[in-house]
Amino acid sequence: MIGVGAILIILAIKWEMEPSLLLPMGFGAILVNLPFVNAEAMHTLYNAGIANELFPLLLFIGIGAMIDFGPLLSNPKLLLFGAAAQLGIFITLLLARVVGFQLNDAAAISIIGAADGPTSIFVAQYFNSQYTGAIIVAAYSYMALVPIIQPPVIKLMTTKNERRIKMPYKPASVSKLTRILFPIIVTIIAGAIAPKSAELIGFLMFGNLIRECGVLKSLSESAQNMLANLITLVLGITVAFSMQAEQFVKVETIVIIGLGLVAFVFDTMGGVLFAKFINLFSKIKVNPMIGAAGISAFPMSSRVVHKMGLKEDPYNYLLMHAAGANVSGQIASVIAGGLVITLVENILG
Amino acid sequence: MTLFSKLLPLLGAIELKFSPKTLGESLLLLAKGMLGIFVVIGAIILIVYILNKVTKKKEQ
Repeated sequence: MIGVGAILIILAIKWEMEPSLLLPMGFGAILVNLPFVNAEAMHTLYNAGIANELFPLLLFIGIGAMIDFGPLLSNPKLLLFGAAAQLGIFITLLLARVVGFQLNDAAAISIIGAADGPTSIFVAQYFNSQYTGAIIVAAYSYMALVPIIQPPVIKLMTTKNERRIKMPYKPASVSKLTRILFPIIVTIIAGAIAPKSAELIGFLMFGNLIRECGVLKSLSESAQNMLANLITLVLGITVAFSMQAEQFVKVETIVIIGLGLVAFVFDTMGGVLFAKFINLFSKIKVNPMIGAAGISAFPMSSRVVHKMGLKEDPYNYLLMHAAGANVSGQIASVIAGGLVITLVENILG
Repeated sequence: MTLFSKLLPLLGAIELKFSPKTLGESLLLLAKGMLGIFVVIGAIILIVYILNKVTKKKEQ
């Protein structure tokens, strides 16, 4: 297990894979697995912020403050790609159940497909999954591997002509009032339809409201920088408390890592297929690669799609469309997390 | 000791059991989940369109 910790540190430093999380997790895994070490402080932090899902919620304030919903608000249809790109969550839940995981664990594993760290931690802890450590390692590792996972899947699902579809960017102006009302209304809607997502989406939107209101500049900057960095610092090393050898070194961990890959692949497929479906009925064609950007791995996925677009046609700038879809994935993934909790809780009773 | 005999205890430690009976329940979850996401997102899209129209009128 100390070896696993070392591998995570190497991935973080040498390959720069999500270093802000993988390095603290790797170090924490080494610390918690040293013989005769009590890890009381880590246990205390774990109970204070992970076991009660507090740290991911606080991190969401920072993430919400970082997000500019402008491209999405000027073209709200992009939200649909975010929705479609959550397919991987439910496919993974299905597969996890078929291979034999209990429903609560399968639900926690499926949220790797949300491609969102805080949501993964929140849902895994909500269901008290025994595989939290593996789920979080898988979620953050695959988020860092999006530039490797997505391109082959996109190429498999699309033709060269489809990838060359031009999408000129003509943003409609978005009023300040819309930007202020958006986070409030989204919280109300999501909370009314999927109450279990209310806290998740609420904290994200609270962060965004701080950003957009225009009267809390220093709070917004603190949320984006100090709060996000502080929570990230503590989150990584604290999550490692669930990476003790007896919980982590199991065959199930390898299965979970495999299921995580399935989740990301089907997320990408879901988004691309939906875009192709839209093109059957729409006069103005959408570049199907935009659908792949609906995954919540922001901003990596939008950059991947933009690069692929430029490769096919150096004059096709897809970044703003992809960014809009990418940001919509953030909202959709949080809603998906809430829905998974609601639906699975109904079955578990 | 062959590699297989070293791996056998590891396979025995697997707690998972192939459960195809869960397919029906899981497919239902898939359908409800994706429908739920599209319903919520659809509601948000509608609200954003209304917001954009109303705030644009005010500005004019």
